[in-house]
Amino acid sequence: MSAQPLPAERAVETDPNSIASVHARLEPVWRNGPGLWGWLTSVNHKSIALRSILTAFAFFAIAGVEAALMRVQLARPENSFMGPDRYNQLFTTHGSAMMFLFAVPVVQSVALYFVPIMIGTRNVAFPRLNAFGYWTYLIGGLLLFAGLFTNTGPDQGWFSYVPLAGPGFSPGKRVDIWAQMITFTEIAAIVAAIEVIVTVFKQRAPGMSLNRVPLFVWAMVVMSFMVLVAMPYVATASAMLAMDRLIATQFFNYAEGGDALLWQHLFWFFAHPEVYIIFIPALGMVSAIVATFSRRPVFGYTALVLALVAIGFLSFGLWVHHMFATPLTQTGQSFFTAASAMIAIPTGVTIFCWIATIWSGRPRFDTPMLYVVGFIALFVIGGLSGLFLASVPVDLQLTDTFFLPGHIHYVLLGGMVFPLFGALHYWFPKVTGRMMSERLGKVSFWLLFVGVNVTFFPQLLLGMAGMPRRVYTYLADTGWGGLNLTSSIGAGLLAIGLLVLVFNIARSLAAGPPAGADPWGGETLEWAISSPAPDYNFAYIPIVHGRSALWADTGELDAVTGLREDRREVLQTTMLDAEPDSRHEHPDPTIVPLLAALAVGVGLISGIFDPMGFAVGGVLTLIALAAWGWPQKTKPNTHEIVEVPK
Amino acid sequence: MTWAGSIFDTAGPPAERIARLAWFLIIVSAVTYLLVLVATGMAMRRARARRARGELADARPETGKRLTRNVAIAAIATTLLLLVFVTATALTNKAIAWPLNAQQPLTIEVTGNQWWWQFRYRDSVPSNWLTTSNELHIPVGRPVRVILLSNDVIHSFWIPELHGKQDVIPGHRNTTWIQADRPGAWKARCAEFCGLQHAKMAFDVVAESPAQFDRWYESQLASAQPPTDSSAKHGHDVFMQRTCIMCHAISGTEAGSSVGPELTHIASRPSIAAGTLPNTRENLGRWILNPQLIKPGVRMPPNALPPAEMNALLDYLETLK
Amino acid sequence: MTVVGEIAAETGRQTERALRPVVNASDLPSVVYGSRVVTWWGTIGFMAAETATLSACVVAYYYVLRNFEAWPPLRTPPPDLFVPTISLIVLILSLVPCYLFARAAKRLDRRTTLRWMWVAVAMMLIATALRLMEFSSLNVRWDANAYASVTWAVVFAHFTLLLADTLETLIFAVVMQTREPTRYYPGVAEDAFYSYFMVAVWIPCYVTVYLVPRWV
Repeated sequence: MSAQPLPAERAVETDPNSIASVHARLEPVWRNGPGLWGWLTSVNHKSIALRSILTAFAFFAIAGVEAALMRVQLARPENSFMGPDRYNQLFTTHGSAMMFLFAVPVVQSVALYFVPIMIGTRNVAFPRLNAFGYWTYLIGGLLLFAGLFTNTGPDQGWFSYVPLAGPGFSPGKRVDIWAQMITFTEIAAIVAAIEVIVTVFKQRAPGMSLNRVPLFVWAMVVMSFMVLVAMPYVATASAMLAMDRLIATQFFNYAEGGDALLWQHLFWFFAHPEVYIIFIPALGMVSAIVATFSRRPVFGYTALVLALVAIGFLSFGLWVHHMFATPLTQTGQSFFTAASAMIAIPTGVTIFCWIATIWSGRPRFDTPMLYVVGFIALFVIGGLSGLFLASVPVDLQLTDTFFLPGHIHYVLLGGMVFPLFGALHYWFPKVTGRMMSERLGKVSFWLLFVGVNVTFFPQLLLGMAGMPRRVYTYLADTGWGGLNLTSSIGAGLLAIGLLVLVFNIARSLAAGPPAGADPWGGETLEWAISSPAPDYNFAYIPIVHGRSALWADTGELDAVTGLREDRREVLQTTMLDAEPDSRHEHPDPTIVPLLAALAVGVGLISGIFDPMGFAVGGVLTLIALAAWGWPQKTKPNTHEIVEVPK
Repeated sequence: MTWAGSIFDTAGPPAERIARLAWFLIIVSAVTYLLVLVATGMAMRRARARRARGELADARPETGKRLTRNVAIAAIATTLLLLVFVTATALTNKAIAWPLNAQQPLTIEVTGNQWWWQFRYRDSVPSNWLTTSNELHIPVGRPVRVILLSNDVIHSFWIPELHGKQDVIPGHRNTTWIQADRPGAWKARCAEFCGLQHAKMAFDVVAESPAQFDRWYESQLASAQPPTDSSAKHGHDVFMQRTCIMCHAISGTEAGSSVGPELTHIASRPSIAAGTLPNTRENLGRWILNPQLIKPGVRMPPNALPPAEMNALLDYLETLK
Repeated sequence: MTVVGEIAAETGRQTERALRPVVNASDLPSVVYGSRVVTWWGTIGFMAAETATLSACVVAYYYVLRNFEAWPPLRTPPPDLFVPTISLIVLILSLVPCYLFARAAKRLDRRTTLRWMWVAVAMMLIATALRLMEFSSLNVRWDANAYASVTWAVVFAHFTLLLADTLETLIFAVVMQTREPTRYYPGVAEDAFYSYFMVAVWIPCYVTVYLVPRWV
């Protein structure tokens, strides 16, 4: 593979300036402001993504504790550890937080951290919007847990079926808190999706044509497109639910012609793709890890890209398989069974390609790679148990039983959390500049791997034994006590595994050995720069000569100079072939995104108590948007080169 | 396999067919899973050996061709397996549909309430319509058409031994059918989250011979006998004068409310409080005294009756056979 | 691929990669238009999300419609046509000044840009006012029945787009009037692009809300 042919008139002699002096000039331009104000006004993608990842893990921890409490309650029949009201709040906020506040935000944040570096640019396309997205997400998450800790936690289930979630059967503010949390997190998710798509389309390093984009980046792009289509549906649905509750609309009230099943269609049209929105980024993470640790590029690049896209498309055709127990025609049922089966083909292809990569590589089984193998071992159980639910007759027996939590946790823990933890061990050195302990990493891996199986395999069996899900207790004569106790013991193993992981992180942060720029001999551009990455990522924008950017060029990398170093400027390239096209000035740190998020927050939260709050918040938001659109102070010597179209 | 209460403890045609399909899926999944594990394990071993020999990754074009072929074979095998899966599903789905040639079907309207079940047996003679609560009797060998209605939120009707579940949706009329091929007594539980006491919303299913069923039906159709002994008479008065009458019905008396389960033959039921407690005098007393302790959130309020009244009331209820 | 295989033998590296400048980007333009700008793509992204939102409302409309014997339901008059139709015409006509100011913006012609921007702002403000009147033309309150709720949902969901577009055009007009930063011209051109979208998606909504109740 050779370099993209570049226009001759742009080639120049080597820049006389040393890289060190370039660093010295870029650093003051790109760094965050000092102190708390600097923290609040940051528009740097890594600062924001990192705090977003930490926020997501904080919510993960709370939701995990909730899960542990539920397992304590279910450890034995007719346990009196907690009553139904507490239990229902716990399982609702556990599911809602894991899906909306942990899984989607964390994969999007990993994307917002690494996609810009992997494609060789300095920041995401819309830095202020990115900050705004984080703040709305944070407000939404705090709202949900503020509700929980004041005993106003949603208790209608994370799927909020009407009429149970409607005004008639859930009085009070609990469901309203849930609905507004959804709105916040959907705004954040849509914003992050647009960031990823546009950054990848327009800011790739020269030479990184679409057929050279790393699989990790492809996965994030596919995920982002899915977010754009799916999230508006749940946002609209939750807005309708809130309106039914707050201003007496009749969307879901059957007495006035509304429909309870309308909610289910809108919700699952979002929530089924949601699982793949979470899962596809994990495929990207696995691809990155497999390549680096097998010491070869992932086998079947084109097949994998096509598979990712196919999974993305097909996932929108499956939602009805969550509704097989509602009135449906046989034809409809068969269609959705077939569609559900079809998605197993591209998913299978991805797994076969990774096995082929390992097979022909010379792999090292460091902790990240262990997590990949663990992912295959667990996720395949999740996928195969999914077949039971795609098959209408078997689904009628198993849906809404404990088989479901068993299945979904194999899918989400195996298919998403394991790759994420692999990614954590893989990229920790890049983010912090320090290595994690291999020994502790392996200990926590095995605890988690065994823990997942001990916790969730009994749940698959409990479902077959007839135990419904979402029950706060069960009677002794059911005979479900043994399996439940086993499952609870497994939850304990998971908790210990997670504690070891946290300890490993803390110890490595404090005293891990220095990582250097590229501890693993990585394939993609993030390993070309120092660890942790500088605020502007690259002193010069690198030029890419192959699919494996760093393996195609082992020594020096070709690079682009000429971006201004006295203001924040990024290089834009053409969408397909990534040829240098234009320069684009980026905004300096600003408080406006936070203010805008607060304005939205005032509107959505006060609206719970008085519909006029929406109007007030709307006006505040418009003011914030006006401030947003107002031009920042222009730099001295600003002279724009304008390309006037013919 | 008789794993009591499980989906494999089948007692009727649809459940039987589904269990067979489930076994098929279990075997197919187990084999597939093993194949994936073996492939992964072999890949790891082979690659480890290469590392041990100090060789680089195998990037030869002929290896690439071989890998492409193997991945393609695996993908095609997956596709074929899925075709089998879809076909088996479609065939089973067809087989468990309501039999169009059903002989003398029985029709039962099921109404879900937070958190108890009401059953109404339809009959061509309106005076033979029968309403019961939390207890479903069916004759062995006769198909039963089940019409699912809800008074409040979504519930789900599920007797694992007989058939998969169908949701009970307000504003929609869903249907399903069941048929018991052998006598038995099972517990059925609500399978859609329906609020605070979703966990304690069960009912008893009794499948019995047609003769026994007919006898049961006759006995249930009968109005409650007026109490004869004095304590039961007192209990009757307690029922009618205290809050009981506001929610419950006992046919043959002035109690006719349908807010809560009807109690005409409560003494003949195996359990109380929607399958929560065995129907004993002690449990019944505990339940009436404070249902909130047993089923927090249930619509029934506590009844702090003086012991004498409580005893009389229990005496009366025990006559309602 | 063979080259890559050899390279992948290497593991670990302490220092960052050296960079060898071979291309100079300093003469690349910093003000470009259309699909060459990130904001154009961002706008497309928001259009996608907004289309999905509107389609969810329209889907809800037709889903609920199936539950009714009569549409609009008995004793509910269908929406008036007069104000909504005027409003639709104003919206479509407002695209003419949008087109003209976008064309002028691409030529950095400040005078012409501003002139047509203010015309567009005025027409959009009229359209916004008409839209507010449209809510009373619906002849039913949002809480009357499911028909009313889905009707209001479609009109209101699009109202937020109209409001956002009007505000955006207004802000751009004020900024161009007072500051005229060169790098705002592409944004101005995109603002017109968004208006085309905003009007285009209204047409199926208009048909749904105002014509369908008269047809079914």
